Amino acid sequence: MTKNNVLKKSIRWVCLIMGGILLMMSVGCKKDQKPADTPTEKNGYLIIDIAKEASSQAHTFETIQALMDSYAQAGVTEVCFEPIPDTYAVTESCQGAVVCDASIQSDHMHRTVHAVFDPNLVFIQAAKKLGMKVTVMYHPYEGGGSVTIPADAKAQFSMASVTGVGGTASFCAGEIAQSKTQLISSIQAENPKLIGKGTTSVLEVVFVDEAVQNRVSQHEIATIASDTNAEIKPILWCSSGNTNYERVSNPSFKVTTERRQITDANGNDLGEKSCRVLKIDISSYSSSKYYAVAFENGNNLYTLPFSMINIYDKSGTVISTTKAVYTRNPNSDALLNAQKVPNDYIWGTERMPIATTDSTSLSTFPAWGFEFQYGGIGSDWGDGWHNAYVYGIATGVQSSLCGNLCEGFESVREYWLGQVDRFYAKGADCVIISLQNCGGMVYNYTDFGYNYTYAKEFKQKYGIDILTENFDYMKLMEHRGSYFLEFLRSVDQIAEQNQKEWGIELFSSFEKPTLDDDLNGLCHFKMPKLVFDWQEAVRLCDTVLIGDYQYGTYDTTTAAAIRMFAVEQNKTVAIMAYSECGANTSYLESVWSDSYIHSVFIDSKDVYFATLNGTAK
Amino acid sequence: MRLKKFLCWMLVLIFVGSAWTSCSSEKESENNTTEQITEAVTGKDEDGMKYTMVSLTDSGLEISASFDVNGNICSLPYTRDDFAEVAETFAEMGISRVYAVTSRPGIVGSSSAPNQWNDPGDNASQTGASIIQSGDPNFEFVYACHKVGLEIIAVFKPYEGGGVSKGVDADLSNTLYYEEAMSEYWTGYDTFISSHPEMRLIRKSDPQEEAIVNDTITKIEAAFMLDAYSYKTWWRRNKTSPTINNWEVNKTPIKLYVSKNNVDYIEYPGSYEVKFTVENRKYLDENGWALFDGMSRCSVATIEGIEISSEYQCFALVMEDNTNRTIIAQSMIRAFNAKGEELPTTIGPYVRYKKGEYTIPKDFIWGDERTIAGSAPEALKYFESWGFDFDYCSTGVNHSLKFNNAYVYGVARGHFQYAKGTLCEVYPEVRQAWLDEVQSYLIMGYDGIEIRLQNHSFMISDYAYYGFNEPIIQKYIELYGQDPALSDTVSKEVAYRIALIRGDAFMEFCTAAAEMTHAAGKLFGFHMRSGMLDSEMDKVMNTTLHKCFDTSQPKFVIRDWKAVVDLCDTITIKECFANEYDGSLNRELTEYAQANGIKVWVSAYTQQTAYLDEDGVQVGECNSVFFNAVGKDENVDGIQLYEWDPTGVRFKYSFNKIQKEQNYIPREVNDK
Repeated sequence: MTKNNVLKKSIRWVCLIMGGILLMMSVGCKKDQKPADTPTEKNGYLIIDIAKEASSQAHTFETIQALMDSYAQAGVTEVCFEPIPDTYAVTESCQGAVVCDASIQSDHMHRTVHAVFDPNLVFIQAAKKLGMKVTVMYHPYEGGGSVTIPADAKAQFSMASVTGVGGTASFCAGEIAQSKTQLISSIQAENPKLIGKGTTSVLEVVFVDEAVQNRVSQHEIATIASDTNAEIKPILWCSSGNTNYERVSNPSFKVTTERRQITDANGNDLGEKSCRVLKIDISSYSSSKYYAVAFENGNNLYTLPFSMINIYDKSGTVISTTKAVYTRNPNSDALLNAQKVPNDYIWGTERMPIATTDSTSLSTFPAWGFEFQYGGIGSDWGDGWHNAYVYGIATGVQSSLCGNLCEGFESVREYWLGQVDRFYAKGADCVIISLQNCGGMVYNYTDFGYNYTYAKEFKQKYGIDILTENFDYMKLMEHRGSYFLEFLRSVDQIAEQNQKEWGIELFSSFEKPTLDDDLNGLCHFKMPKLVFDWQEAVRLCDTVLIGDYQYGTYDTTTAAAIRMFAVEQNKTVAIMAYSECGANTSYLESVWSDSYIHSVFIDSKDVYFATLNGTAK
Repeated sequence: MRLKKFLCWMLVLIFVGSAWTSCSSEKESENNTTEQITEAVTGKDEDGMKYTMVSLTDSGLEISASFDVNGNICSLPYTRDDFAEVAETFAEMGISRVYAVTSRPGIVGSSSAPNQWNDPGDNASQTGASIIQSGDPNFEFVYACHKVGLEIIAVFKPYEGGGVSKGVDADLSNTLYYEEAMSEYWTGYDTFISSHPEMRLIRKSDPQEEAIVNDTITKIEAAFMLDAYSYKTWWRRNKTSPTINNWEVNKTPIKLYVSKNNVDYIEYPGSYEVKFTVENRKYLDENGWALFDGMSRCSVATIEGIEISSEYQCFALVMEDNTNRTIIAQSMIRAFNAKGEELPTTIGPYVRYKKGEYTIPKDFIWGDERTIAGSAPEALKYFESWGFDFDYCSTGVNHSLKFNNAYVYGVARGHFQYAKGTLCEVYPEVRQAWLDEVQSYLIMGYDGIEIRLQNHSFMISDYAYYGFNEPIIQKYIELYGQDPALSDTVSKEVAYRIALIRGDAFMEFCTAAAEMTHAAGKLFGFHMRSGMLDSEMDKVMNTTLHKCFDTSQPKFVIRDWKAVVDLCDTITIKECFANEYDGSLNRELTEYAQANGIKVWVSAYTQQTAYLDEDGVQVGECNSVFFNAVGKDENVDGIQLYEWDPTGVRFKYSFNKIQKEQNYIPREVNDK
């Protein structure tokens, strides 16, 4: 054994011991509470994203079986499939949709579906033929609608659509066509008096004019500051349909400095004191439905666009608006700089939207328009500060989350249950319920969840009218969570009837719920903004999957209470290893050393094979 | 609601009808368990819709239903709820077993039904929408049936491999695979063929034909039959055509049209002469085999003075008066080059069309068209723009002899290189692909597998020339010591031997499929027909509709039909009786099955033959006459209602047609 290896081994042991101590401390657990049968054998699940596979090439039965054969030959015995959402509801972009056009990448999905009918079924069958244990990760809130096409456009095989801000939210799950009234609705939809209407007079853009602190990663807080020395000259565009924006010639504008209390995208004060800001009032333009604003000196100014860009009417009343920090991204690079959308363009084939902090967005938005609300506050950490090249502003607000059905309706829960039951019928051994989704991306999440049934029940339960009175939003999240727990109870029954297993994906944020929209928070854009009795969920299920995103280093304190409780309950405890978060050999070795982890789910075959060989059963 | 309502009436049909029998039936004898039921028209339902109550016997016959998954999903955009509704209704009707004719992966083009990948807004086919909405329809249907406690058998049609034509300007981006044939595109193949087109039955190579296929055509002949001939109709009646005297020869001019690519036919741009002579000719069938011992008197129409260059890949013979012009077009319409050599050609007995559209509409989406027989006068209105469907229904004639009497025939240069969508079972890869499909149905949860040979993918008139794949030739040489590819023509004996070799390979698949099915603890079945019991070459190679070599069959020979039955737990007699059930046709088979504890079902054609034959007789089998007749056959356990269409769309069409023509009061369904 080399000195290095001895050193490494020593460090590993120290880490392991310290990790154990931290774990004990964090959960306030006595030593004798540790169950006798803590896991001694680990297993790894290779996560296969079926939508990505099915759209990466024109698959047939033969190629799918060959792919699974190759995994089996490489030693894979347990797989976790990320299924294609119901009726090909899209996730992050149109790329998962079924569009028939040989000139574009997403045509692969068409060819795969055309050839095998149901890629989910065929992947499960291929794995079962090889004797693999199959887990399916089901995302009930993944109902599509994350991206829009112009209101007058049509997308092939979009089985449901919802009128959104900026156009029509397409490629929603087919179920949504049957039950649009059962989407999670906004407070403005339930109480239209809250919508500010009027003729636009002044567009106000406010930039921070002093240094502010902002979280930029899990462990890092940065100071940001605008460069206000350069000349400030706004550029304004208008559009009636969120495409083909036209530049306004020489709009009048006025720059002033003042102090102002900054609020986040949900209207919560940031910091205790007011802040010096630069206010640009733009006027002398005709009223329009959509605006884009940029500044000649580019992206050297910081703003929280969701609260610091506003439109006023002549009386100074705020007109309700929605902001965008992403632009649409046409289906080929050749179209990025198009002056106008070509007449023969096939909508519904767009790629992942482009962040407006990317300079490409400046040449993209004029023809293609913006994706409003996409990506929530536009970043996984912090409060949503942006120094973007351009911002989109739409008059009006979103009336519902375009792809999130409301768990409070029995028919919705039955629909989800039907999906779970079908996964079992297709051959899945275990279904893990994951809350993560792209169907409810909004930055102003506290404006959603106001369905009339909830308003009525909340009034009965707490005596508060959530449509008109201030209240603790966490209470609404708990109320919604109680229905979700009902769904989980039904999943438990269905699993038992099928003599199969099920699991729940939990995040550490369940342990001490707060209104946190950071990456692992309950209110991040990918989460449905609810909370439930996680201990009850753990008692019911067979497997607990910890879904926290951890960058680089495995943190043994992550979801420690959940993991400890699950092990006590003799449940299987698994943890996610995200390749995009830097899951690597060292990360996985740390995971293996954690006696409160049975399994790891790895979302990359490269990481899986690079790390698991020889380290797990 | 529309669906529910229709199916509720089926409940009336099956069960209320049974109750009704107690007061209207007359027992044949005290000890006879069969009661004779008469048909009753009971009036109108609450919505004023007329219906006929078709009663069942009380002889213990079970009733099962079959459901054409493919036919339904291409007609309507099926959702999961729709599948559930179908299953629930079957369950409410008291049916305990359903046969699901599965939708073959790849979306195979078959028959004239539009079945292709289209956006729902295109209105041509709902298949894509159904698949996106409900996933694999084969899975969704078994899931729905099991939810209501139905037993469900997958009817697997290995030879339904597809193959449909598309006009030359068709958008092919929605296809998995396409190829050129007959100067246009052919597509709509199953997933395996789309990846392995070379594994289909291949045509016998003929370098001499290939060398002259594009020669300028200088003469065309059509030899119409004048002598009387006897034949059997597909509804099993003997007929004799009248003798046509020389003075009765129809000498009205035949018009010649030409086309570059089977659309936009124009009258031949030049003068030409049509002569009629009466000659004695050797009359040949579609495979080139002599039909009669001696010569036949023919009216030979000769078109001369023409020069049809290779620019024109197709021509059409048009007869506004088709009196006394019966012909086996495939062998007796011939085109010659200047040297007098006969060019290889293929006949289009059917014309493509879209009703009421005499020209192809702008932005037309191919796949939305239908076919109309050239023997229908309306065909004359459509062919110029739409062109022909070559070898559609093979010769286009269902009787024992393929004499046609059309107004227009399309003729294309050359032959199909492959037998459209028919795979060659002698390749192990083909058998394995079929086994994989069987396995997938078993994993989906089907309670059994039934093999049906019928298909729409071997619509080839001169079928004897297909099957010259290398492994077949090798096996032929091994068994018979000769290379069948070396002779210029294919004799009936050679075709029979090839059919035997193919049958042996198919039995390998069938045996493996039965083993796989039984290993899963499930039922295995086969669709039989009386022709399989024939052992003589001439009988088994009968091409009359519902015989073993008809246009719907893969045209191979199973040496021992008992070997098939021995593999089975259940068999279905899939033979159209044209409403005249005759148990003696399959007596040996049904007795053998019963003796071995194998359940026997008889398929009742409830919709596809719900029309009148040429003699004006109602041949549909959804009536008490047929049911009672089957009920008297003690070797039969049940009736399988053929491809029930719960939407009632086709059902209604068929019965309305009868009502109109015969003042027959049918069962009707409501519109939407």
